[in-house]
Amino acid sequence: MTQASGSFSTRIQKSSAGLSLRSETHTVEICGNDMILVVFSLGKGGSQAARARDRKAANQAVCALMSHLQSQPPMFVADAVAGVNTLGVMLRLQDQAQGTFVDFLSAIDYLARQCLGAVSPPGKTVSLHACFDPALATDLEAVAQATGREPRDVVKALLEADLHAEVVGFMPGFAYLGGLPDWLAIPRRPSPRPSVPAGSVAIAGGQAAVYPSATPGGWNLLGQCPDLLFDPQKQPPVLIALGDRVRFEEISRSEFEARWAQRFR
Amino acid sequence: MGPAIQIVRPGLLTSVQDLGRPGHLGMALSRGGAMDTAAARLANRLVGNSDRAALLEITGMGPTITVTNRTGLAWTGADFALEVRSAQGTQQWQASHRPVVVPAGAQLRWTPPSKGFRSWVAFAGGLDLPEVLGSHSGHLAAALGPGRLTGGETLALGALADQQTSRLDAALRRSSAQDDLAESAAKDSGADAVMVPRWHIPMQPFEGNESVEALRLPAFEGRHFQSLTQAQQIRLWQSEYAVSPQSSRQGLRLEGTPINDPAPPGIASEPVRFGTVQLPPEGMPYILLVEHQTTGGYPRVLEVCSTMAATLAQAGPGTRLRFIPTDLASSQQRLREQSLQWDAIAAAIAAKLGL
Repeated sequence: MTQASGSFSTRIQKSSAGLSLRSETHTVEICGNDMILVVFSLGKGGSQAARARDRKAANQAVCALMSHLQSQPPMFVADAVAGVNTLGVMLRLQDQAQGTFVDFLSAIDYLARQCLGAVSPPGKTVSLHACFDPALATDLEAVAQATGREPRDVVKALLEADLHAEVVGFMPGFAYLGGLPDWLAIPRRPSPRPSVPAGSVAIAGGQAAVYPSATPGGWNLLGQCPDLLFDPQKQPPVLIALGDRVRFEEISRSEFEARWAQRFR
Repeated sequence: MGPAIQIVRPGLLTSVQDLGRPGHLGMALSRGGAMDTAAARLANRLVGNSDRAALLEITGMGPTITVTNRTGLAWTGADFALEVRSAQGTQQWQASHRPVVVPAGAQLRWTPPSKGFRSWVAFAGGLDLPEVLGSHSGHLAAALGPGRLTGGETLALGALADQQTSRLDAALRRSSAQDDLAESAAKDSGADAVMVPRWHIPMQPFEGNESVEALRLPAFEGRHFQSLTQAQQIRLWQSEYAVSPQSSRQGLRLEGTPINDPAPPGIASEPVRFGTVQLPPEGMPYILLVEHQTTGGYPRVLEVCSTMAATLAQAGPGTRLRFIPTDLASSQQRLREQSLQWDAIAAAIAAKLGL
């Protein structure tokens, strides 16, 4: 954690939605009666590069706060969950019943302030195998057409991207990976597929991900990853944690088949 | 083989639950577990189990099961009736919220309650299943732990099943001496008897779908409430909704007048909670339940108070409901009342069963 610089003016607001602490850099508010939500500001925008920078800074603050809450949780914290620039803290039942909410907000506000300007996510580096054989790359051709590139350029961009887990969400083992080049930021498919195969390597909305298991999904499928992203028998059960750096390593169809078979051992 | 239950027919939706997996939101896993954890704990305590023993969550039309041994059981939540078929014939008992002992080989069937939707059925000794991430529960949305029961399964009971059932038999016979047993059960107190006490341990009643009035859900304004037009805000508070049959343990889908003109704004995905009311583009509110996704990208227009889990658990298809404004002080008052009620329940069980 880094020390926040300068002083900030914080306003306590009480409204029909509950309590909130608002400052220029972030807000801390109560959602319902059992969650405190921190929202780090995304800045005023401006150029695409400036927006990307603001988003990354906010996400690094989230990662730093999450890391702190996991290693040294305050007494009243039962659990925590993060979005790109947001972090939700669940209150313990006895604190929902008896605590003073403004104290919880202040404590979280204090920690959030410490995380402003955090430089790099503390995560490990995860290497994932990926096969881009046409039989496994359902949407690669369509993505190439949509971006005006060759399929091979799309694959190359994914392999060279310095990806990091901005958010862990949607389903156990699913990590939203930021760090794709701007030209690969294409939207989701117009309508989701009823079932995306397990292991699908996919992109949408400027992020990449691997589907840990088969599920309905609307992302564009570029290839398939044989690695097990979620294994409840392992400790930790998820391969990719918030803030981890992720790199894809290309493998042949035969190596993919060999590794895929190991999933079921 | 040790004591076990066998699932003959699964009913509408029967799954294995316990208190779920709190503490795993960071890996995108919501708590799951029993929709109403207080009711599940009560069912377990009534048969002498630990609070976190595995039990069945039954829904709407209950399952049909058989028991291999003389077995103590208890069910809480909605007031399902239990039909017991044994050598003694077929008897029907309106006997939720109390321990019941049935003979070896009995076939049990739970019939739909007049009010409410879900019940938690605990067996003395608990269901003996492997733990996954610290819980026996089936997280159906995340496909973790045992899946929904389909019929044909045999579920072993814990090592102490017979011993705990004997203790329940003994406790119920003691209270029988005080004329506390239902009459038809008291005639015979042997191994073939169905033991059903007259007493029961009531829980604060949830508001069910039989009432003339719609269910009232105390809720807070959500973060994106203010992005609705004033007319939409008023509609949200004043509308009466009906629970859609498309609902699941993940969330309650509602039917009613949509709030989609103008369409709700899109937002970036952010952390959500059990009780968050999302407003997807089609404009029908969606209440997140115990197997919710951990982050959500729809505007959160309301947040149902955490004290309403028991009520939400009983909102079956067609249940009419409306949201009413609440505040933090009232939520704390309700939580304290629930805590006091639980203390009273725990004391009452200990007194009845001589624990």
